[in-house]
Amino acid sequence: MSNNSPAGAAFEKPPLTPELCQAIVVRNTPKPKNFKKPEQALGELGVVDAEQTKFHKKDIRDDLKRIRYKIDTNNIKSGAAVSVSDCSASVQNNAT
Amino acid sequence: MRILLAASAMLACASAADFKLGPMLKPRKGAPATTERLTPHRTTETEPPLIALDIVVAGMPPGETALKDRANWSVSATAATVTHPIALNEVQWKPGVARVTLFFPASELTGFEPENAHWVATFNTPPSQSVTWDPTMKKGPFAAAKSKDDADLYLFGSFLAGVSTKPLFVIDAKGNWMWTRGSWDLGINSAISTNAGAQTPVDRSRIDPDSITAAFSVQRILRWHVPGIEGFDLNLQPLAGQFSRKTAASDIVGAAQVKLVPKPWFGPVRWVAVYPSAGYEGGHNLNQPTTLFKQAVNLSGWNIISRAVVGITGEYYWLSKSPTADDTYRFTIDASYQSRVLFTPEPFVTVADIKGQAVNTVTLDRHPRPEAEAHIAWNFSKLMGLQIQYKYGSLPPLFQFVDHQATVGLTFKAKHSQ
Repeated sequence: MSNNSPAGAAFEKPPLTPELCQAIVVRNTPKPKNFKKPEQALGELGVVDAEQTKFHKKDIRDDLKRIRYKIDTNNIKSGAAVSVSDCSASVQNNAT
Repeated sequence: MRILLAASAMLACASAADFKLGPMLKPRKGAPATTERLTPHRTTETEPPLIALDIVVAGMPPGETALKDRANWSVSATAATVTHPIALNEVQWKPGVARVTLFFPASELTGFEPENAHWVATFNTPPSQSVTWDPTMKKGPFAAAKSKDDADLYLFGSFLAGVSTKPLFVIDAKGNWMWTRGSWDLGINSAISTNAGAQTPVDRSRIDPDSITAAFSVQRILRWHVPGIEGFDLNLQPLAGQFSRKTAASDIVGAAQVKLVPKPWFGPVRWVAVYPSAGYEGGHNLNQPTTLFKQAVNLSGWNIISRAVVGITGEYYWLSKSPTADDTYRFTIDASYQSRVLFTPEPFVTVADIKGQAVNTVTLDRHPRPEAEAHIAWNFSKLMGLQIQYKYGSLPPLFQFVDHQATVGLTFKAKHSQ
């Protein structure tokens, strides 16, 4: 059956682009408004200690779940010294 | 004017020198530049299927035009020992996410999946830089640990034999298992130690354990959608047992603790975080020693263990200018206070001065047992740091009281630069 008609078009998982991964990483930090550049450390966005890191990883996992991706929180790089870019790369590499 | 031109040229050279291609990320389905977006969208067969290779970059490229020129890139995929050169459709430079993305038609790949190939991408503008990506190797059940603290499974065993001493066995082992069930994280932690601090000569060989601890723990994070609050961190320890030969103490205790996790305040460099918590500990004491600290004691009323625990932790963080794993904070203060309200009598050990000698005295009662700790760490340079630690109060099972104890430490760490 063809998917050419709008009614038959498939609603797929969105491609996990760098922009989408970065948006997920940033919006799940305690202070997303502090974001300025991808090289910035997550500590500057409020992921300052182990407790905030735990919540950040869990929120990223739940956010990915909403768009039908799965990720093991152990594979997400997060923490005060981790850059937004590195965290978002770990999401892109490990979400399936 | 010449100075300005020279300065601009120097700046451009410095930027170019700083430009580095980082790791390549997992190949993914891509869409042309104009259609890549953040939200799910309907796809139709009219869109040409593309594959995208994202490369992490650091710094500014020497020239955006050169970077986006397909002719300056060579890409290949190796699958089943056959290397396939890949013709690129488009190169995108995305400074907002620090990535370069290489697009090519999926039709370039015949007979293999992109995620099963070894990828090499080279940016040929001098100095030429290459990045690679390999399919994730299947992880075995174990990976190397750096130390005992880092290890989930640890076993150390030694046997010492010599003149004038009986053989001495030392066993130090721990085992931690963690797994996830839905939203719950479950874990088992256990440790056993035999003769860990023993000194020769010994007059008998024994392998009875000096200390054993074991606990089953359950953890869950609960979101609370209130402004300024992240949620609750729930920790349950339905069953935990411990035994210590040194203090002749052994018990089985279950515990439940809930911690409120607000978002940190201030920032972006200096932060304050406060975490209040409350919980309950209940169980049974398994041993009533008749002597403690070489004195006869009467602990016959020490049976059921039932305590409410309330506490608060406050933290102040001052981040380093460019935080790294080794140098995250310039200055930190963390202070915690918790009080155990006892519903049944438990031992309390204090040190009394009797005839000029410090003597441990043991009583059995129900008065609250506060415990406070504070740590200050100040890394005033990359080479030097100051640590101050403060302790007060007592902790189970024996509640040995520590009266206002402060430790000050100075660290100097450096290595030869050549």
